[in-house]
Amino acid sequence: MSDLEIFGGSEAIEVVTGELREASGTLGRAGAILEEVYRDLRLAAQAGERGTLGAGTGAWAASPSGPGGSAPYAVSFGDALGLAGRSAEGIRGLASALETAAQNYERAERQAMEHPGGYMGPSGQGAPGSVFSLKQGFEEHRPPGIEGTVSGVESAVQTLNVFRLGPSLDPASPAQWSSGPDGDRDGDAGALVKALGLAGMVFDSAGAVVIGDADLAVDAPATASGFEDLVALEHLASQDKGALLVTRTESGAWIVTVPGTNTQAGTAFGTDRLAAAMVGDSRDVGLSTVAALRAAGAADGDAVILNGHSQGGRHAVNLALDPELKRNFRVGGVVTAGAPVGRAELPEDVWAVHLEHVDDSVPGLDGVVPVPLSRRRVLVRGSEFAPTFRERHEAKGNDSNFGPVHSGLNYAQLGRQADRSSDPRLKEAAKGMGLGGRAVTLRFETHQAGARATVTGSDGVTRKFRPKTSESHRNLSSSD
Amino acid sequence: MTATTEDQYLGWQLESLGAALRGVERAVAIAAGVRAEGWESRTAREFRGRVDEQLALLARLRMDVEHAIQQLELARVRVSVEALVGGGA
Repeated sequence: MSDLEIFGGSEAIEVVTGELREASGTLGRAGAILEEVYRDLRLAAQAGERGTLGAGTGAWAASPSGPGGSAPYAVSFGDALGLAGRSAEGIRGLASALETAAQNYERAERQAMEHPGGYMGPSGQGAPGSVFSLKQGFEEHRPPGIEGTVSGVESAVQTLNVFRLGPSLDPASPAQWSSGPDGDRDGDAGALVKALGLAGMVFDSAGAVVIGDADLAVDAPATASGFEDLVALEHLASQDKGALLVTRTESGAWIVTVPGTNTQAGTAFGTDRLAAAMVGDSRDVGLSTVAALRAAGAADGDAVILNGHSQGGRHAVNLALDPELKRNFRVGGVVTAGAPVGRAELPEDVWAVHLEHVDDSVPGLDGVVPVPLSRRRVLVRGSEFAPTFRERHEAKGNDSNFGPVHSGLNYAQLGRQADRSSDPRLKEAAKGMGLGGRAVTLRFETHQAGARATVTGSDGVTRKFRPKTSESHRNLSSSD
Repeated sequence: MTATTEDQYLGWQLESLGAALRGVERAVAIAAGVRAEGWESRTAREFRGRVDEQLALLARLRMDVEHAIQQLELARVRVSVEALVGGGA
């Protein structure tokens, strides 16, 4: 039995609430117009009352308050006036009902989604009263997960408030964290990220992402038919120092997979890049992504799916808004796994699926439990671990820096569950973004601009290299 | 009341009814727009039937106003004819 909890999509509380509220407001305007109609009809009637029109014209009789008349339109005029009143009342009543429904949904939303660490439980008890905190159920034997990280971020903000001058950061105002007062990324968000120890190194500039030549990724999945395939690509992208993967699908879409956080020397996706990503800065990654897509043969306006695990997922979301990428291509979808995307907005026309494991700390790094959801933006949460001990603990590669729960192999399990789910929202999203069919993947090794790799040879001599091509880069990587 | 005055009152009535008709058409367009757009969720769809009821009411209202306008226009012609032939009120 699947433990998946799926939020967002066309049946999501937020989406339904938004629809109801929008319809209520619109119909409210129609109600106001109908009141004007009623007034105009009354004016017409009063114009008739002012005159002493004879029975020959029958216009006087048009007024329902008049003495009545034999002219046939007297009935229609009176009916019109009555109908206008009823229509105005009906439309206003409907608008009010929609508003009430929206409020009811919001109440449910508060209980189910905004409850700290709110988790409806694998038993499928979906009623608002059954919401419980992870801390209550799993504290003893499970890692803190998303909720724990969010609590940590909130504590960090409170601590910052003690030491900083000027206006306090409000933990309840996420927008305040994502940029400084003047949109300066060295502002509040910079301080927060530094305080959390995410930046670690130089925050101001993560530098350019240099890509090498394209190589056929023979170990990439042969299909791009579902989320498990995309998670496999994420896992592959994060090997060695990290690579951009460009996948051509049978359906004609391109998939760009951005690697996650990497700790190897010379990597372009270190903690400084993560810090930049967390405040929405993926410009350098965007430039390299456009270059890689062009090198792979993508044409103007081609559909692109942005895919990434961990830091790579946050870049994927940021890139959906990247001006350079949007100028060249059409972003059709975003898929992330274990990524801190809770503060990142996406265009409404972009399909998005976010995979999060409840015990993974990384999705909470942005200080938010629920990601912004919409009709096309779906959050998939799971609580099962990868099925075997081997998969759980042999999670190799750089995507396991935050523990096995965060590993690509664990998320492969979640991707597999998502693919097997019969939930129409996931099917709709996969179809909408153009997943499906066979796929061929090119691998573009990356490194930080100006970075030099240090290699100690068998002779005991340490040498420094600046990788220039994918070939030389791979050779260096294998020596690490 | 002279035919001229009666014609003037009829003109005011027609003007008000014309405004009412335009209002009804705007209300119909708004309600139809709400019905047609964005109602993908199951709950919102449940309200569609009630919007349809309102649209039916509005369609009836439009017909009645249009009918009243036609009749008033006929009355106005009759007033003019009666004035020309020396009859009328």
